Amino acid sequence: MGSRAIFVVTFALLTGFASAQQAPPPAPRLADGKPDLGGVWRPGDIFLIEDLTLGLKKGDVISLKPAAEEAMKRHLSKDDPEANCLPTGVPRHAPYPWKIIQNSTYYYFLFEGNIHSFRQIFMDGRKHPKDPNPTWYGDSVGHWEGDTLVVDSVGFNDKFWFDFVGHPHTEQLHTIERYTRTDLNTLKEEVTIDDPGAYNHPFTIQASHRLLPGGELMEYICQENQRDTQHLVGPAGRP
Amino acid sequence: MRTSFAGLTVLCALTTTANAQWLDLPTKGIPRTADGKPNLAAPTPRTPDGKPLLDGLWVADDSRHLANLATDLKDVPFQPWSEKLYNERRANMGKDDPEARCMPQGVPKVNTLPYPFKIYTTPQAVVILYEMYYLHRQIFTDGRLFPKVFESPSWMGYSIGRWEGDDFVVETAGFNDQMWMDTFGHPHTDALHVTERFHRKDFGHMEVLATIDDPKTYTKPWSATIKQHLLPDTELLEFVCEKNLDPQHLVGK
Repeated sequence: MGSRAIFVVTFALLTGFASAQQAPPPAPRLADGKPDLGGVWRPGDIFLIEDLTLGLKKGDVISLKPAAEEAMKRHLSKDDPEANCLPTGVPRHAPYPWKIIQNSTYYYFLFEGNIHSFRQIFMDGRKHPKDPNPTWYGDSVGHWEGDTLVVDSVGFNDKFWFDFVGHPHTEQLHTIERYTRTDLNTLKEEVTIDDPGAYNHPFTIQASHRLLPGGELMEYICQENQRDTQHLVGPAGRP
Repeated sequence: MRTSFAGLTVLCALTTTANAQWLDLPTKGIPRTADGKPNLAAPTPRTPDGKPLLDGLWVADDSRHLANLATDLKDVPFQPWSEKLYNERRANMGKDDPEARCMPQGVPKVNTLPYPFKIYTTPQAVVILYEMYYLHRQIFTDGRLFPKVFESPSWMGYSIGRWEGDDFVVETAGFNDQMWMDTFGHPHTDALHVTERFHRKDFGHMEVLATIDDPKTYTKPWSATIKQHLLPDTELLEFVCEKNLDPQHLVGK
């Protein structure tokens, strides 16, 4: 009888512990009540790295315009700007950690690798410039919708590819990223890609990032030892 | 020599564009005179705990230290091998400067560039974002010490910072041995230890006293004072060093 009671208590403790493990702590919050997105993250899946179509929101399809379809067919892996030490652009990620730092005016995304660079997001209510210089990371302004950080970006150059398989874009690209920290360990990202120059209609990709607790960015300088593109043969594709 | 001076001339010429680089965008929180112009002589801003706040967009006053970090010195305390290498680099017109291959400038050269950098204080680190090559650097202020072993020597090193009075003192070690400390090519080894003292004199002016301690390369430590000024009403632009096609034209002697 006594041992059974102990068993029951032990079982309850174990299952309690197990369920505590299954339910991570909630997302922390800043002093102003907004979710704290700060931390070192790593991409939790390959949708924004290798192939956008793997992360398409249910019901969405990617419909390329003829010129974009032609460009995609022409793309060879060795010509992927990311493989040539150039920025990934938006919303593409490299498979390396990245870090969010934040205050009320600026959010910065710091990238460990490929390339060791950053994005700046203006949170003070300013608008996009009327005629922005085309850049790899574009011009990004952000605001909160409830607990979701919404980042709106325009002003991109047309150089980067969205993924390993070579989805292209034009300077008409407009991205809307929605970041929600659903618990301590998880940052959900939903990004809508609107580029009437390359796609027949907008589409949305859903991806996630995982917290790297205690992690820190290292220095990855892609240009330092870039001898790989000679080994990349054939059309753009997943490894 | 001519080539490196030509490079410098280009950099100097670009400084003016860097100073007027963004649209009309008034930066919030900048004290202004009656006519609305930024008052760069206003007092140093401070955090609630009384420490100077370094945040803002800064750029070096001139390119003297970019050309020659030892410009303030009469004699550089070279070790024999480093003087030889330095003279070779000068004679070779700086053709092997890693910066020409899009490599990071390293510390403290990164404070001497004619492109702005932004200081951004966070609870655990002071972060510096550099327009040139669009690099970032974290100076940890959470009380950590250097790791016992630098397993991954890097261009920008590993930086920890602390306050001494009104000076933000940054110690950096863990470098690789690849960077050039300036355009003239002052060398260093992985024994390099850099101390930077950031002193914001008033709202619009800051001095960075950089001390170079690398006993393998120099017989004693030496210093450079790099003057900086605030760039109001502007922001960082994106400067990606993109497959630089120019190094082939740097032919050397």
